[in-house]
Amino acid sequence: MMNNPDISKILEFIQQKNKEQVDIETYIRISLRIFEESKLLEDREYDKWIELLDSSFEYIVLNRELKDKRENHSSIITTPIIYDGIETIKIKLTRLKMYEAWSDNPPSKVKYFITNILAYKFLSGILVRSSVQLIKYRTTDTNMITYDRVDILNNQLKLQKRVIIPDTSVFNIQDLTYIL
Amino acid sequence: MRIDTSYYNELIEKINEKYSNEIEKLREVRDTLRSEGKLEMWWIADHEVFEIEKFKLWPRTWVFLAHESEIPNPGDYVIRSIGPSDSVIVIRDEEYNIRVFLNLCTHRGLQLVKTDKGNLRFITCPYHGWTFRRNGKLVGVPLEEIGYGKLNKEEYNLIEIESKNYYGFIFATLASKESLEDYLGEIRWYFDILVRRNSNGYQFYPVERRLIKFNWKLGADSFVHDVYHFVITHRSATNLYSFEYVKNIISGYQIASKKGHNMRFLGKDGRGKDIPIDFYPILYPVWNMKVIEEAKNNLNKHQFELFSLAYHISGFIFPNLGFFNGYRKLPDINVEYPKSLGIPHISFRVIRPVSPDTTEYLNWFVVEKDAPEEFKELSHRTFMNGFGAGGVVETDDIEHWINITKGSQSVANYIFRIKFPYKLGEHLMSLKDFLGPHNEDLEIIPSGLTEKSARFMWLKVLDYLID
Repeated sequence: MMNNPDISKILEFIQQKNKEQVDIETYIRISLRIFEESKLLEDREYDKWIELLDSSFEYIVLNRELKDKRENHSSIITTPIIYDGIETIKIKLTRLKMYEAWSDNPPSKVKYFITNILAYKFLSGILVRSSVQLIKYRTTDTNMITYDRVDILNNQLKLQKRVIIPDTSVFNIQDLTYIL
Repeated sequence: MRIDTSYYNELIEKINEKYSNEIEKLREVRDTLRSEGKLEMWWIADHEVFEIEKFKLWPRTWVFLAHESEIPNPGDYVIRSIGPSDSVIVIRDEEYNIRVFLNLCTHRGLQLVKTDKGNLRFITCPYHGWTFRRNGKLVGVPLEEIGYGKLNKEEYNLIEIESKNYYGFIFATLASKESLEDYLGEIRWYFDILVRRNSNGYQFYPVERRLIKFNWKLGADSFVHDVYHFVITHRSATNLYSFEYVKNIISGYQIASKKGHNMRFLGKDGRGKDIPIDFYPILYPVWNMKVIEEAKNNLNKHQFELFSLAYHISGFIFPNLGFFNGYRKLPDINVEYPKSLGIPHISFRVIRPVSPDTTEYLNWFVVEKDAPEEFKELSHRTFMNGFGAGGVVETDDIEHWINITKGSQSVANYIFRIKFPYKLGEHLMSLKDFLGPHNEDLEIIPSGLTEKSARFMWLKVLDYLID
């Protein structure tokens, strides 16, 4: 079902010490792409956002559980809680435009605060790791979550895969229907 | 494990005294619901009522905590809670028995385990080092002889609470006077159609947890009865794709328990428009024939017959366990007819109160342990796409629960005594002759469209708070 590279390979890569960073010019292009992309999501320009995706795009949100330090297992659970390919992503974004999507009508407002962007050469493309704080204003309520975002880009900077690694084991948010 | 509850009983008396005004008002709420079929709003997320619930409802109910598949090996544990305040350790001991202990050290009351899940050989308190085995026995006390001379360690084992492994589903109670079987009552026969139909048991995937701003009873209200909301609430999901069958909400049976439980079997007489009767129940004959074979072996004839009538099963065990066994399509799965009709999936929720307007929502995808891997993956995706935190279906339910919670906290409720009707299906006659038991605590309503279960559920909550 899931395309390569699989989650475990990505997580393994992240743990490696000697990762080769991309050159500074590529780094700047990637950073600009990330900010541009966030702006599209904040402005609900979903059709333009879709254009940034490779046709094999996969969107994966993982889960986490609090584990004791003595346990060797990572606290990251690799069984996803969200898995979408490009078709289901399109449908979810179409829903967000609908009047009858009650949990987003009136539309929520979101802001992405993105920092610690690091970009590495990875297989035939690029792996970008960043830290994100998402603030979502849902009518009178403020929801906030933070997470690590791992993006796999091809050399044309099309997004092939996005893996979200949440910081907490309990999401302090109504839902995760917005792209993280 | 029966314990002396006399101090708790005295506490209940004190709570009754302290909140006598509120309890008197709740008595009026109950009378109005009984006589007029209308429910007052003011008390739903009221702070005092929440306190009464904490002391009088949660300790006296049986609560689902975990599934045995979450802790398969000795030492495996999960930390769960009963109501808003009582953390418990659900752990498998050396003999593979599952035990439930209060999550506190018997030396100083420290919360012993702060993680969510893991495996422990011993449970050691980080304060003074008292150490307990997986069966709760106190086996290690630092400086025991020097410090205590002789210490009767038996007196300080972890505090175990009464629990029951019901076909893999672990329920526990702090102070119920009933056995789990009596607490469930006649709904067991129907609940078993879901939980006993497969001899190899279920696999619970890792739980997804959210803290959401609604009062727990509104989630309970939805899971205990609400078929009526399908068409409007889920219009965005139905208009997009794949959830057509929810429009056929009348055909079916609601099994309404006066104990606050419910089971729904939608699709009697083949009127689930999307799928031919050959593909009942719930498209399992299309995807995983073993589910049918197992059900034939594990259920009795009438249970199997009722299962076979359904294209959708859902329900609720009082006070906070909801479940769902239906099917949906995934638009990007390229499979041939009849698989193209949809993919079955099962899920369970625990709706745990944290405060009057905040609830912890635990959500598990569940599948037959021995199902083919390909089916498991597709079924999991179907669940996530609709009913997970990022799904297109349940998010709209939750939005409404949040907004009813807000509405219930308005001062106008106290001024106008706002009540809403629970009258849907009032004109329907309960069946006198049916496949399963319905002698004492059940009514069988031959339609999805009824609020009878919700009335029973709210009355049950009120009974706990008043009596």
